[in-house]
Amino acid sequence: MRNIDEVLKVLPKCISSVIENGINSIDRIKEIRLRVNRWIVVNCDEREIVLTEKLGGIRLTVENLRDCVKSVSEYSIYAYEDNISQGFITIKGGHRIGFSGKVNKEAGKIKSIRNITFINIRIAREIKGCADGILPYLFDGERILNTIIISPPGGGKTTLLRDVTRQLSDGWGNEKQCQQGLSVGVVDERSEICACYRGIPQNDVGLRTDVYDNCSKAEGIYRLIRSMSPKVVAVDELGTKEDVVAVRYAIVSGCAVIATVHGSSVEDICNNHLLFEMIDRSLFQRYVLLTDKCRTGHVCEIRDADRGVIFDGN
Amino acid sequence: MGIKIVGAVMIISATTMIGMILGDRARDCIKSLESLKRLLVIMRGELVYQAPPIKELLEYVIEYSDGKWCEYFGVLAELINQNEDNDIERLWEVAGKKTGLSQHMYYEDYRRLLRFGKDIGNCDVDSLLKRTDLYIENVDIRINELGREVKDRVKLCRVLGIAFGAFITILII
Repeated sequence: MRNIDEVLKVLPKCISSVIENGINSIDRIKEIRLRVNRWIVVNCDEREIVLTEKLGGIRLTVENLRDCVKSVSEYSIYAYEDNISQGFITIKGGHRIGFSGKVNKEAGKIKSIRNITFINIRIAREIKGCADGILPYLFDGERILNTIIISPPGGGKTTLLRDVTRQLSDGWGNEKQCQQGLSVGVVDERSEICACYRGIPQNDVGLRTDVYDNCSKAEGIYRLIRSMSPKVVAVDELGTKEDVVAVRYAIVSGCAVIATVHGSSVEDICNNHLLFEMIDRSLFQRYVLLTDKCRTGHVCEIRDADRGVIFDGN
Repeated sequence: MGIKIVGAVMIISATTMIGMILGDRARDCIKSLESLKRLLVIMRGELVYQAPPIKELLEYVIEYSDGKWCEYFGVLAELINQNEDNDIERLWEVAGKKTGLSQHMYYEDYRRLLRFGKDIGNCDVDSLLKRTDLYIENVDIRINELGREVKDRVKLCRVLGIAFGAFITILII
């Protein structure tokens, strides 16, 4: 089964057939964008393809997008209320379907999104071995260093984090170093790391990994530490104050933390007032910077706690 | 004369049997509605506890159902899984036709079930629970209604069966 099949399965027939007929290298699709009254736009092989009439495309109608939302939510809007209010649903296989439209507010907070007229589908990829190059830098003897993976959106952070998690959990080794597997706790707020479907991880995240799925990072980290006693905690996309406080709690509790954050340089995240204090106190000992300049997920540099470059991939 | 008597007996027995079958149908309908009510209560509990998507909800309910309902919800879950039709409302009807549920229930009760199916995919948990409660209440009222009528209905069906048989016999003879 192809990676994209789960996505095509949930899309209305009129949309999935246009994509299947219009794109040759369908396996290499990275992103599909659906917008009302516009052509379907597909990001494939690092380039954008607009599926116009010449390529058998259609201009999407409100009904097309409504059907798409119904189908993605398994005809059960009630079951995905929270996800829709956050703006995305993760489907089987870990693919993220993002929504945009008119928001419905209650007491100042977004309650739901109605009239969903813009949809972004990001195809998840599992690349085993993509963390081979960085793993030796994440250890100080047998101790795992608190690490933060930095990249712009779509830069390959989650893919790298997934492989780091798998290898730390299964154990890894090369000629110089050999490391036994450790218990790893993953807080998978958006079901992107492990792609759990009915509680079962669809991606390989290792044999010693426990997963808190669809749970906020802050709550998940506290619970994981109390109930599953992990040696390493892996979380994706730190963004809120609560996340940062929970990560700090994990670090001071003796767990190593591997986290990802949006940014395009270490300086960028130093300017993030939420993270600055932790960086200033050297709570993170490794900064892995990814770039999509030559290819997605390329490790551009690795820095130590003092932010000195210890690996330069440029 | 002998043949006439045998024929008359056969006609009266046949119409009496039809009358009895129709009478039993009323009893079956009550049993069927009682099973449906039990499944709806289970469904409601699951919605409060986990709020799973419809397909999962149906698969869960199937474990507690038997006979016609097991078949109906099984076919419905399968249709939703195939995802060939974006119109879920229609799937409830298709499953009803496939399993012959429409013949198994009174028309009014069947329409009410389809209306419930129409509602559930498009609302939030609160509204869904309210609609489920309302539907359970409706089913309950209907069970009481049919329960009151059932004795009279069974009697009426049997008497009509015999009377109709006798009428045909008189006409033929």
